[in-house]
Amino acid sequence: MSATTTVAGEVLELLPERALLWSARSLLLVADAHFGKAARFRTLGVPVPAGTTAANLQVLEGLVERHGVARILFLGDLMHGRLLPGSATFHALVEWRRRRPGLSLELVPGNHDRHAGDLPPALGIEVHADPFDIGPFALRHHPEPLPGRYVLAGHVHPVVTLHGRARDRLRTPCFLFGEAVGVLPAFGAFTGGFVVERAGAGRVFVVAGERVLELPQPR
Amino acid sequence: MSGTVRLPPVLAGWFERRGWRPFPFQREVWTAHARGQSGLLHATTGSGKTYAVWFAALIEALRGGARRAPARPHTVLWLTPMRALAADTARALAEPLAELGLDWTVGQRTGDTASAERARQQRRPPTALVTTPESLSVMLAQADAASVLGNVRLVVVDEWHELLGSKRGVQAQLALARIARLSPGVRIWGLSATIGNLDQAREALLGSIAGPGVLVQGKVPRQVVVDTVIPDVPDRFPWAGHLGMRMVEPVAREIEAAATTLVFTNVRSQAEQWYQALLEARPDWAGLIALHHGSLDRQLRDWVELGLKEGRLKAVVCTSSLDLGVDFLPVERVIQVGSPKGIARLLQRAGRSGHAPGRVSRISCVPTHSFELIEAAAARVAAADRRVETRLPPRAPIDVLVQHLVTMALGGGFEPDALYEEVCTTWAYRSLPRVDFDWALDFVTRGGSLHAYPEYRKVERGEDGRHRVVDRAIARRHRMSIGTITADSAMDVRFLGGGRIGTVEESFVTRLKPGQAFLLGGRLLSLVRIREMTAYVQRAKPGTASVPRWMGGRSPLSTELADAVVEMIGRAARGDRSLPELRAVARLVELQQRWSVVPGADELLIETVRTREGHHLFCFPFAGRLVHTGLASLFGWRASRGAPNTFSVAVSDYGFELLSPLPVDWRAAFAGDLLDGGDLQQHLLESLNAGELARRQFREIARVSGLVFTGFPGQPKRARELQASAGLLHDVFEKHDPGNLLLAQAREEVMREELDLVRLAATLERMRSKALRMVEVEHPTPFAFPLMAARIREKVSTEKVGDRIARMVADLERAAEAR
Repeated sequence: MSATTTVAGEVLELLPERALLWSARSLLLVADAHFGKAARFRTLGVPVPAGTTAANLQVLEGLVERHGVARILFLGDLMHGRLLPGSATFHALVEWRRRRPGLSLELVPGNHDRHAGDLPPALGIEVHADPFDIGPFALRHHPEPLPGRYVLAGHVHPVVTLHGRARDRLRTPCFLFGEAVGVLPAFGAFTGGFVVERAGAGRVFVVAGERVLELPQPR
Repeated sequence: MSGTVRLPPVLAGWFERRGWRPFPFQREVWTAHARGQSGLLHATTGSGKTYAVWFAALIEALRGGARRAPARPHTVLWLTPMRALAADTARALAEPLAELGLDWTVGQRTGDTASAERARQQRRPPTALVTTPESLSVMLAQADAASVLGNVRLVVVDEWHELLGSKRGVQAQLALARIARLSPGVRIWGLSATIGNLDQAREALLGSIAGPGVLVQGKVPRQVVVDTVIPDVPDRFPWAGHLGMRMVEPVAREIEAAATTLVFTNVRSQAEQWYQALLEARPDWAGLIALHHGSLDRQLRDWVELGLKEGRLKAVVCTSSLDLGVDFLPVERVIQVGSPKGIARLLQRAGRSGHAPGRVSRISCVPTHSFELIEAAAARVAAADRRVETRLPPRAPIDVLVQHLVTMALGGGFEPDALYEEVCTTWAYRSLPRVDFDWALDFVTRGGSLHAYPEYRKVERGEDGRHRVVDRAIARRHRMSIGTITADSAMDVRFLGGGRIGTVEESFVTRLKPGQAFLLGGRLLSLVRIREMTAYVQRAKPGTASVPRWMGGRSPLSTELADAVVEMIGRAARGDRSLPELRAVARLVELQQRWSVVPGADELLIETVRTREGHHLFCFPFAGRLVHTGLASLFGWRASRGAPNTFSVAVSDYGFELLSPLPVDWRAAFAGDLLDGGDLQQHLLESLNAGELARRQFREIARVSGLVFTGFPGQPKRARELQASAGLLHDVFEKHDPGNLLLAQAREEVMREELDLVRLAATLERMRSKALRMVEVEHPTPFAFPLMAARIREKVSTEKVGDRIARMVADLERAAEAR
């Protein structure tokens, strides 16, 4: 179950799949997918099991299908590192692209994308400059404010820690909406999180399993 | 003993010049060693155990007189559990060499050894090397390990009891197996303090050596005096929160009465507070008393240790950081603040005192609340009976095996069949199934048994069939992470000007805000900023400060001590007032008897009470806090199956509390399956957030097996590309590789270590055999009150907690007086 909120006059849907849907424009915003991260780990001698790329693509495919998404805009760090032609990640991405030729894929590059170098043309991803203006929003990777615009960004991988009974503790990814900047959780299945302070963070929506819930404001 | 070894004349002369004679147990070790035997020497610190094994090697070297062969490098390896002890040990070993006319050299190599010194050792290796299990593994991970460690005649494992129960001990076992292959005929001698399973300790040490080896009984422990500092007015409503600061004045008086005193606390935060409190009580002791714990800078600790040796210090407040190591002759007294938690620890700490001729070891327990009076008496009785805890060595941990495979692949490569055979000679892996070994092999060669990742190549099989690490970056990272088994994420604390104060746990510092104050090394500091694993601080103005919380302070009461406590409470129940501690708790016991029951050793006490907070159940199995945590979840889960209810939980070493908004028919529950042993593991898994516990347990496993990399020294910023938390890896494995043995290990470690399933099952069985005394009380009793106070402290963490609990105590005292 998603949550709906109005930001800068636009109705946005916050999805438990850790992505943001702007229905009026059939647009899906996805931050920090970090494709190829597990493979990079394996290259460096850490045997992370395969399956995270497939899982990521399956979720994307489901969202496109269910919500009639026409356009996906990646808010940076789409790739974790250089995508090697011939690698399993490369094949999986190209294969998915082949099955979704009509979908518009666009990227506002993040720090990882810049290190990763140019994207293979076979993916057909249009690259924008940062910030990329659309409606009342400025889309970018780093959550830095811009005068007169509402910034939607990624990069932080925000999570909050919720405390329960006894020593029960739960870390969960979240969406943050401050005065002038909104931050999306990291989309990638193999990405960690950075614990953010709730005080002063603005409105916080946590991803709780299949649901997105807004947290009450701290006193 | 017939046929004992003959002492070479020069050594006999060495003893004569000192007016000493070898102890019989020393001769026993020398004789066994000369016959080619290995063994375990059971001896306490300061009893001549070092020379017992060291001279065994020297006797062999002196044989042949002037025509003997020159010293060969790495003839003796001396393993010590703490790198801080290496320097002192090396000094002690080197001391007699010149006088004996031996051309031996002694070196040390630990994680602290500078690379220049390591390079020098590589060119000219010392005859005897003092090192740690981690540094030895690093040596085994060098391509030339076979030649460097191919001439070892004797390996000494000092303080084996410290290593035995941990994965470091398993790492040592694997290293010993390797050395036994590289240096055939090597002898292994362990030194151990008193533990309950010495025979098992010997077996675990000598698994890779032919023959059973011998167990040599060292000098009979010196007389140990255990007594208690009795508070003037013991509480009737004890609670474990106020750290017994009222005991500061009596302790200061005890310190005044002795030349030098060690004041042990159980956790570092308590050490900081006691140091402050003692200085406030005796301001003229500034410079005469000092603080010593594992988070303080090495130089500062060295200074304190030197001060102790030279007798310049009146007292040192310390933690387990001073449990081991060379003896400080001037120490006359040891004071233990709070529960010693176990008999072995009590005896170990007592043994730090009274080494001067004609002195006895004396330890005085300082209770921080009234229950610890009973505990102190129980500990004394159990110590006199030498009822000492066992330390169980781990069985076949897969993470350590995974690490070892990579180490062996670096140390010249391995052939799987031969390595499997070698690994199986260790005690830990003696019944390791070949499939598990092959799983670990697949994990490091192909990334797992299910998959084959083309991009993954940590260990590669060469054309000659040997497995090696080819990638130099992987090699470097592995050697760096071998030493991190025990590393917790400690953050450096420095002044803005650069002076280093020590370390605190990352989790503590990151919760502080700039400007907030905390105590470290007896100094009040305020946080300025955090930069790359360093917290920069400045001196803070006096006021309220947080005390850093360090991990490891929550070890449970040992079974042996818990049993002794149950017996002691039974004595109190029978009106026994023959011990000073029992007299001191008489008021508490009488009130408990008036309001409820003081359980005999064959009775199980359950109290229920209704307060404004809700319905409380207090249960007192006296089985330690780990077991109580499991039992509380289990009871809550089993009781709410029929009637949904929610429970708040509090645990102590004595019992636990379940608090619920709705009443529970506990009598029916106890008559039902509440204490059942059936489906125990299943019910526990369901009652606890077992998945989350396993996830947490996976942290250490991920570090040991090389899944997470903590960084290079001097390069605190971690290799960014490899940044992933153990928790994240755990989730990915669980989803995409659920059969991974490391996950199974995490679950098993939770059951064994976090919940102590064996002890929990035994406790349940014992509870079933006892007579149930269920009492409905009007007020929380002296037994129950500490649990309530603990729960409130856990729930609200403000300074006002103290006030709130004080108010509750006042209310209860009024109730106790109003007959």
